[in-house]
Amino acid sequence: MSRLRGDRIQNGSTLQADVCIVGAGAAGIALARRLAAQRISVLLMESGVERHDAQVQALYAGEIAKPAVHTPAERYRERRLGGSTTIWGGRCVPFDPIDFESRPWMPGTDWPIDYSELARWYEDANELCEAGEFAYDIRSANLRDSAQPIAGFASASISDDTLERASPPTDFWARYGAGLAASASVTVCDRANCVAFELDADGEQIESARFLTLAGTAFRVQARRFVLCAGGLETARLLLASRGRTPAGLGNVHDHVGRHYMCHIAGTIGEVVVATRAYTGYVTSADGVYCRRRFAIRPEVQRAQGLCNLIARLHFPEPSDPAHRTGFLSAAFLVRNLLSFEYRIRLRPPRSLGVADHFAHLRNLVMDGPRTAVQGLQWIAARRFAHRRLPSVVVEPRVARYRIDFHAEQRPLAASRVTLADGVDPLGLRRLYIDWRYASEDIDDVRRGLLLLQAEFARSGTARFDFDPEGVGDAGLREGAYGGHHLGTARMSARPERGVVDPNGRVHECANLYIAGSAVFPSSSQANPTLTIVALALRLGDHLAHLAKAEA
Amino acid sequence: MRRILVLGASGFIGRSVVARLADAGHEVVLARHRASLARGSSTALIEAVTCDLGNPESLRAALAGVTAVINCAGGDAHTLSAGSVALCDAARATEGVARIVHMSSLAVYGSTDRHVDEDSCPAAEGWYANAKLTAEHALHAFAGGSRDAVILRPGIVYGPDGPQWTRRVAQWLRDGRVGDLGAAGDGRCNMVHVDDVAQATVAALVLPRLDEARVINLPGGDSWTWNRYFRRFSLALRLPRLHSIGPARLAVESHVLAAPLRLGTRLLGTARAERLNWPEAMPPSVLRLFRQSLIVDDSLARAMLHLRWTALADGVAAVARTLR
Repeated sequence: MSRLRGDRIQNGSTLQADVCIVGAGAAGIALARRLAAQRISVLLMESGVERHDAQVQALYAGEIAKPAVHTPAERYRERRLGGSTTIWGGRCVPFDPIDFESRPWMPGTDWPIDYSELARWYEDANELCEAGEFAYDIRSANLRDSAQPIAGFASASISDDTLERASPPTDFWARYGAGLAASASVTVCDRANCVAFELDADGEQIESARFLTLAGTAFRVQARRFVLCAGGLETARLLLASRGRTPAGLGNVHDHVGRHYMCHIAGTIGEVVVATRAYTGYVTSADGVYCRRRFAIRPEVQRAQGLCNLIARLHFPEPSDPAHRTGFLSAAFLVRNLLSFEYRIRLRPPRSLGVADHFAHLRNLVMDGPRTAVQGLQWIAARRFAHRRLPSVVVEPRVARYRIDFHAEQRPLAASRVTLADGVDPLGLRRLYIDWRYASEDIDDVRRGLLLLQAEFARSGTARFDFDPEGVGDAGLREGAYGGHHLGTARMSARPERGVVDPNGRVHECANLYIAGSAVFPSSSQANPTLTIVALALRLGDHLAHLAKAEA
Repeated sequence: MRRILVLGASGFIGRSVVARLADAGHEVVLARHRASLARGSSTALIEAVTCDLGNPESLRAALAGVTAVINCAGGDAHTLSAGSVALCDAARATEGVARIVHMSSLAVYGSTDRHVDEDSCPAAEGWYANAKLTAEHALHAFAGGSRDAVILRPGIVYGPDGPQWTRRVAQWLRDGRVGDLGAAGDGRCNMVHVDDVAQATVAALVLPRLDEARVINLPGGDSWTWNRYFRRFSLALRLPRLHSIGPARLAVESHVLAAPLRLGTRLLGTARAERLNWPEAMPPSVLRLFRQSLIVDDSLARAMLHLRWTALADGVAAVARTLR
């Protein structure tokens, strides 16, 4: 049994391990499991405990340059065992091969590894996310029902046969914590806040990591190797707060730490009238996983037209507009203030509503009452009580009008960055200042992608998609940067002057410090990041095991 | 050409071993508990005798003229342990028996999570593993001088017609009794194809002299979890849906259903229970196995027996085709 409480570790003492992992989220837990299977001794250090603790979570608070475009720093991430997998939606999607290519129209997005290199770990990552087989198109996924989003749609530019698969969603600590704690080679230490990495006298490698507890004690960890798995924001914060070769922070000789901060450009827009038949829901694969088809721009078209990677889904109509005549949507809109923060901001009306609108919503509730009641109960059963939760709200509107839900990558910009604010948290660590930016080309690309979708819907004669091309920016930024996807702040590069970590995840200027997680992504892709975070962590685990074996 | 006595020749592993021995040109004597007819190929090289491990007379008669014995006999605790002891005694008393290749099991390593190789200490728990270990002790006592032994320890043996880990699991999948077990299925399944076991057995037979009883683990070449096996097998069987089985269901299986199901099987008799599709019990020992991560070094098997494991993905797909 190997669980430690950080606040019970003797003040001033030093712990030892082969590998010290900072952060027990998706990356840290995946990595610890991988190393444990190779009998490498691991100290898995976590700030939080099993549950959400407001005092611990408050350590995440930071300053936001433009609160309108970025959610507060303590939102969409969790400082606790399991990390943000305790609240994630469970959407699993791999990056596409094109994401790893050098694309001149997307400067700075090329990876120093290619898709096939990462693909070797995607299968295991998919399994850890409990998303079944690594099968992301309808041919390989064993779907009983093809569930085409728009019946009869076919296009040479837009595909609709790739899938997203749904994790239950897996809370990595709830699922794997007991196994880790039972492992002979892993020690899990909670209530331990890493506040700095300390270089040795030569400045070549990390000698120790310094930890503080909210109880006021301090201790150190010495390890052969350290892996920072603290998420896209906190990773940058810790590097910037640690003294490296220059005062600019650890790993920051070339001034990349905290820069190129990316999220996704995502939102819902327009109106789709389907001439044939629409399907917005999920299908269950033969291995029991909710899958959903999506529209994607084919890679050859991205290359030919110099487009970003973008996907789109049919989405239920704007809930705040009573014209959908759908009781369930009206109900969700009316009670939005009772729902969670994440739902609330998505249900925020784009314009202020009058009394007549509210009456219209009430009328929807009455007229669509029985169906609303059934849908409500189904929703509660599928979302709250099922082991495999229905991944998102699926409502077939009474009036067959939909919106387009898009999720697009953004360009990495040096000016989009996180830095240290002047204020400090209760442990004395400087807080984050988050200045997320996007390029006008990002919005242009989304607009061009949506126009292409519009043209292809029309060409196929299956649907009409109306949207205001000038409204793309508003739609993509209505909720600000897509919540929870914090990418790129310690980007991976082959050459030290181009990034923070090398292709294995090792900090270029430090012999024994590694980073796992979305901080190392040089590009954002259309894909949600968790699956790739886990795949990279498993890859790093095998690399570290290989190094350990070579040394033994 | 050598004359080989195969005990348990009509069993799942035994049948495979006999087929491969005959292919390799050995003269094979099938020893069966009852005089049932051998399934599968019968060639001039194969001769059958009736032999009861509890009866030293019949054992000695079966051993006459034999140069080596392969013991794949199954059965209850007594048959497994006392039978092996009796076999070793009889073989020692018979001129000419130079080697016994004995089928043991990875179960002798117990049910804790650990990394093992052939030098690791066994830690048998439960009647099966203890009986297998008792038999191994008899083999160690047998070896010496001009006699030696090879103790093979396969993991979970599967293959077409595999009763426990193929047919039974397929039925459990169809009945929705196994599937995605969550943390309860995170154990490593150490599945080895019956053909690989047969190949290892024949290779063990022709090893140069050993002067001891040499243990060789046969864990298979892939490190699948049970969850992965259940999922891949279900897909390969083209079952409509893989079920998610929570801890409560599994607790009911092992603590409530297992005892009456086993009693039913005993009352009906195995053959009739099978005919009536009487559900097989899923006892706590099996659920422990689904959780256990026994990580087994396979380098000795690869080096000494020149084994190249059947890829589990191919093996499972092929087996599923026979069951669809």
